[in-house]
Amino acid sequence: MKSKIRYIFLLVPISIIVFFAYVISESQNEASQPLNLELPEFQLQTLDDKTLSEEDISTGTYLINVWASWCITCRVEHPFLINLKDKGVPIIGLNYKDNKDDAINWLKDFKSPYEISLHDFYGTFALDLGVTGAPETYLLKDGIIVRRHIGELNIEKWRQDFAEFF
Amino acid sequence: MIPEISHLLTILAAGLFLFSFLVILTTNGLSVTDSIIRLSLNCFNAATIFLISAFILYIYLAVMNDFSVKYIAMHSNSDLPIFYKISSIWSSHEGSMFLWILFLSMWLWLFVNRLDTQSNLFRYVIFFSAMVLLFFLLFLLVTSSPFERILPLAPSNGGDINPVLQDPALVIHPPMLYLGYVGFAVPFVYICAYLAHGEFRQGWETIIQKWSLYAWAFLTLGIGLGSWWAYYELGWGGYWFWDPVENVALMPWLAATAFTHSIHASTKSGVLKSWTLFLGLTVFILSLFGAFIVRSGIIDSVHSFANDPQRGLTLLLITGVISLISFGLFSFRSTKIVNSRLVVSGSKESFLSLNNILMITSIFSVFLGVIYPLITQYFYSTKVSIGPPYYNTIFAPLIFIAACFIALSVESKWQRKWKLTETLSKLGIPILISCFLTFIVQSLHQYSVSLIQMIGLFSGIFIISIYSFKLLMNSLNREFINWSSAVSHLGFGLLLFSIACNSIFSYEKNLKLNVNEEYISEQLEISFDDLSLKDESNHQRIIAQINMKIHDKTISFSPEKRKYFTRGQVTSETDIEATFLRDIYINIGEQLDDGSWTFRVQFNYLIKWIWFSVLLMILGILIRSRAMV
Repeated sequence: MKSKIRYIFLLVPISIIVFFAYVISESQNEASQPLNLELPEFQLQTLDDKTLSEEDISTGTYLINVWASWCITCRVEHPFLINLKDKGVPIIGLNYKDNKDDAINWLKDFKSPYEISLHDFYGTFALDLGVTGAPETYLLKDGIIVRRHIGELNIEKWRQDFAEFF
Repeated sequence: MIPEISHLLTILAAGLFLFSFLVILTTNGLSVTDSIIRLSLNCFNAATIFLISAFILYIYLAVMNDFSVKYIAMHSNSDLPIFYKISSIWSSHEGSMFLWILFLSMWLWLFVNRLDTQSNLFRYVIFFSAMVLLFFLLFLLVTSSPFERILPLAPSNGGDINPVLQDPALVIHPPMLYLGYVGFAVPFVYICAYLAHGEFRQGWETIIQKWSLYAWAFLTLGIGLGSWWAYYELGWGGYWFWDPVENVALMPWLAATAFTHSIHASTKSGVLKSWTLFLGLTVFILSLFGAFIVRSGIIDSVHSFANDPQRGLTLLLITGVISLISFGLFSFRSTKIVNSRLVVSGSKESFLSLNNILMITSIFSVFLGVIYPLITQYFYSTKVSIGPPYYNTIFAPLIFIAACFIALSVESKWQRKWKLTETLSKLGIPILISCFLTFIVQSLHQYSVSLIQMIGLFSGIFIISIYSFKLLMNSLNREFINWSSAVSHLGFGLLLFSIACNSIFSYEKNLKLNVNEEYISEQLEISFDDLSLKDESNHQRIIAQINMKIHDKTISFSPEKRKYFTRGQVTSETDIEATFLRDIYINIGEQLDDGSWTFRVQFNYLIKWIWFSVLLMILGILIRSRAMV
């Protein structure tokens, strides 16, 4: 009898490990589930003093990238975005809770990956969009948000969720 | 250049641990000469010194504001005072993992260098120590490197530390907690070595008992500090929230408490040998499990670091491998262990064993509370949250039974059957006193007290009165007094008593007030007199002036809200008026659309006693470990 009982000491940890492995793999699937949200209405100044609203980008495929000059991860993400821009991916910047001069200088210093960059000083549009922080990236296809990624966008994430649209 | 040196030293340390591990592995079964043992020990020592140097260099980088290092750029800032620059290292995943591994290597380093190299377990101890360290260093280097650089253009300033972490408690809470978690690696590797060696003749308890007590003291202090920080800095208004991360710290703590008791029983009366070995392994495995839960981000919690499933999977793999090796050894070898004695029913060790079972039950309950939301989420697609009602209902009866067993164990003897009448006659007076005091305390409260609260209150008072009575009787009869046990258990009783009183007497009021508005009730008058704005270097302060009239005494409060410019984060600074028995705690909430503000006013009874009793428990343990020098 005693020799059978001892397998319990192995069985319990094994089942716990299997359980958590399952949970992790499930949570990974969940993270990349497609979205289907309409782009909220907005009207914002861009950093170069133009006005843009949701109607201007209602057709076509764009990336919306939330960034700020105070955000260090955005600095880390920057070379990859430049890479995308060079490949012809149109990126709209959403400058988030940032000082306008700082933001313009940042783009001058590091080269802008953005077609245009909206200036959302109070974070109101970002709030409607459901932004939790910077950086964050949304994929907009004909006025519908179909993908969202929180944190730094990198090549793996790009291939996994975004590349198919371009 | 310095980041690369630090990185290189860490890689070299991993290489040396690997070498030290392989030296033992490849010579297994051969008659091992002293020189081989020396070689692996020297590698182990060198690796630890490299790791310490790497960490010192990393501290230097943080202090010198080297923002070309990505992690430092993301979590530090040149305006921070020097101790926050240092503590920013453990304010997020990569750096805190680095610290965790550093402590792990230091504990094990101290331990192996105090062991007798002639001991036939020595090579196994080195083997398992190097193995555990190697796993975690690989994890750090491959999935969570804190050495990554932002080149060629480094940012001119860092992204700042999270404002809630700009607190003295952050400087010490995580290090103390980690010292506790990884301190249990010492009994873990020794038990693994003992089981792997497979000859169970020599005693092993005395070698690791002291180490376990120190680790227990650090773990308790770490948890206590975390609880204190949540109360006064984070504005949570309480001491414990059954947050998943608190729970994963509580599980190893409960296991460690069971372990320190059972190792004591094992040395004193030679019982529970294999059970103690099992507990020793479990404590460290539960610590690893905690690290996995916090760092994988699968459970939403205030403490979660960045959500990265890949990292989680790797940590799960490491925890899995380590637990399978150790429990595997246990299940195949422990059948050979012969307890020198059997547990005599009604003896001191029998009640200790029963309490051990209760502690395992409570670990299992906490574990269930942690994973139940995951089970429903992934198997039934519904979200549930498990909160205080679940834990309170489960813990109250368990603690009551535990208090009874503690009482019986105090009045019984090692290896001897109890005499029912004698034991009960000794317990009679404490039982009467406790019933009486419980009745008095609960009648001080004007509303009815729930059964759970009554149970908690009684258990606390009961434990305090047993030990006080015992101390009194022993000093009158000039008998031996076990101060360590008495102080720790008085601390534990006081803890239960304070928690129960806190839950019975505390109350809170949520108010909505405009400037110059007053709130008047029977017990108190509160007036909101002024609201002022102040600009500081990196944040804006909104300060409310509140005056409270209570028992004909006027107290003024100035709770604050702070808005930090760089991250736009808002934090609350609570104002607390503390007296011996009670804290008045005012927290400013949101501004409503009509311009008024919300306030939370709490009257917390005996809350500081909770942390005081935690210190008492630690003091008791320190008395014990000093006596063991």
